[in-house]
Amino acid sequence: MQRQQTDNGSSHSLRSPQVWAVGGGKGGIGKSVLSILIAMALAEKGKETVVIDGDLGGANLHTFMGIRTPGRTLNDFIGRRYGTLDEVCIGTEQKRLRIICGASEVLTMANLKYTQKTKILQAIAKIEADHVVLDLGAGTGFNTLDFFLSAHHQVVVMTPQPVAIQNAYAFIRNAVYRKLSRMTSRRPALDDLVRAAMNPKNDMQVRTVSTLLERIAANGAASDAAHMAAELKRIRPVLITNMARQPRDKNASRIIQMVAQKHLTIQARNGEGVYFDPQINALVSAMEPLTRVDRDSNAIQCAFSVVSHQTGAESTPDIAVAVGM
Amino acid sequence: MNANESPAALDHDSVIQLILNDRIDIESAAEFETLLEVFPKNPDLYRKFGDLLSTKKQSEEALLAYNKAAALYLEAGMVLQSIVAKILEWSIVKPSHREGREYHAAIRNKGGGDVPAQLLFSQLTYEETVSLMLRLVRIRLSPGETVYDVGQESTGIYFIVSGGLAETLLQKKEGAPPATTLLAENDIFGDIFPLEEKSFCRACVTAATDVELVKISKPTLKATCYRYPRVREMIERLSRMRVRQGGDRQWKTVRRSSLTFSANGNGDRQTVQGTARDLSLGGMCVALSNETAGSDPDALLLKKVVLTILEGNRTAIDRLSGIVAWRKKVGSSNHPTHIVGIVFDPMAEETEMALNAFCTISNGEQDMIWNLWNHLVRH
Repeated sequence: MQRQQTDNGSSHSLRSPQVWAVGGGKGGIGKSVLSILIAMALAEKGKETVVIDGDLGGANLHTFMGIRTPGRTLNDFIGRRYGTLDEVCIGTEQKRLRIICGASEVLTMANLKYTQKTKILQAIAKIEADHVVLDLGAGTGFNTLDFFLSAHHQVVVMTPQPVAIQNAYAFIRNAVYRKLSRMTSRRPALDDLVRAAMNPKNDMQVRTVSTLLERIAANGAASDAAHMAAELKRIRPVLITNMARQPRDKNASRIIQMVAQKHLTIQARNGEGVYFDPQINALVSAMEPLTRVDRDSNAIQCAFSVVSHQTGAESTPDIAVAVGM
Repeated sequence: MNANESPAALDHDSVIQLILNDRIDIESAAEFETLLEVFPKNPDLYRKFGDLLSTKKQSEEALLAYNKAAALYLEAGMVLQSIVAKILEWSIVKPSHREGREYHAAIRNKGGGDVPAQLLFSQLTYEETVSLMLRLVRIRLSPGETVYDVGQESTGIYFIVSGGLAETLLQKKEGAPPATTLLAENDIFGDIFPLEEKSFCRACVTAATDVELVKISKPTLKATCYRYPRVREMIERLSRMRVRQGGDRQWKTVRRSSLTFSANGNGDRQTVQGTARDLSLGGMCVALSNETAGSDPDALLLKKVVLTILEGNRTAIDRLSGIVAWRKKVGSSNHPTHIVGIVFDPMAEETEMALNAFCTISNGEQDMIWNLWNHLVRH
């Protein structure tokens, strides 16, 4: 990462880190493990990386790194005990990889205040690293969706079970409508349309985002509809099927890709599937750091593949939009 | 529901909404309690239950219901609604200083989101919060009733607790049609500034639905703002905001879907059909089909049931189990509709998530997911 020396001898980055958000709606599908594996892959490619526990309601990312009681957490930053996120980072066994632990006893993502969310988003943009990986909690609360939407690289995880697929899709659907809703929040007539369309049983017979945009255009807001369509193109999540046991299981992400294309008008990318890996389970059970996983493990190879694909075309930062700047 | 009202209303509204709007009468506290077993996380119902108990002079029970409503509203991020429930609770028994401070801390922790009323109350100090809470006056309006009209002297500021209103502003340009904005839950309105002078309403505000507001009169607000200048600055700023966003509600109203269930109790077993209405993770309301209702709906009460929720011919959710806790006959005596409330048994996480997904994805999306899953993944 390029750094610039300042007058007082300290250094600061010349550009903001690339932010990855790993979500998926359902709990227990391996979001935290994949977050760490992606962060490891980035670090092994020579990138300074920070992984953040964004699951403030059930913070446990540190346990996957073998940390029993974190000395510093995200809450120390929110509570102003430290001025920057770099100061609450904790080093790991992996070279170039640091972690910011969550603090579930104090905060939950659901009750994160708007100002706190803004503060975190702005601070993430100032972290001295090349990449930041944000492990999001379960659920589709507004704060979780906003963190997801603000990221340069959006990763959605699912397992090959129908319920996990439904929930991963519902997560993306809610993210799409959250984006549209934020865009129309100060335009009551358009906002009413978006909110009505969000309801899967709406009486307007609007069943897809493209129909919604057509309806908005027909209501005399063609330029708004075009702008919305352009913004939706920025939502390009990578879909990862985790804990696959057979080759066929990996098709789970393909399902979401097709449904999202048809109903939400977004182009999701079908990422690598990850086979169930007993070695990961063994490390987690023993509370040993996941960084000790064999480098030939399918899971870490998948993370390498995702990272290679995504870093081939780094995205334009969206954090300023997310915090309303 | 009134006897002369069409049962067709059930085709459009949720049962909960009909109860909240007094279109289905819940006569006794005991009946309401069984309904709360079906929807244990619904703060609107607890609030309504508190109101019912208050009118029956059961103050102690009303206090508990308001307390529960306030907690559930806060949990759902609905700070203003929580405050109103808390005011009702504290109107029965005055809180201790410690209770007041604890509640204030809970509001502050909850945060304001992007919503005007929530933002205001989440940013006030304890003294400022108490000062406003003591002075809020509750107002209920029916659709079509006017809050104020153009040219009237402004008498106060209003916070929307529930429902929607239309704000119609005449345009300065001659011949231009008036501009109408829909005001929604958590908006703040009222042309009261400048506080020191007489001010007049520039818009007409009319209830579009059943509405609950809380109002602070202008002289009262003026006195409060004199003592706490920050309140004035915040209200002035937030009353210009029109960002509509509710809390993360934990309960859902399900889309129409048919449902069959086997009722099994006292040795008999029967298959029943109906249309699912309101659905929560705790239970659901079902409008029984005519054929089923023709048997004896009363006999279903307290029976164990196993439910299958259908969408078209497809099984959406299978083997939900529960007990029929509540039943109600609504509509005219010639064309009654029978509703039952079912309390679910504790369910597996998978079923819980399936219920959640069932409420958030359209039929087309769900069908496509299932078809592709059968085709691409299923072993």
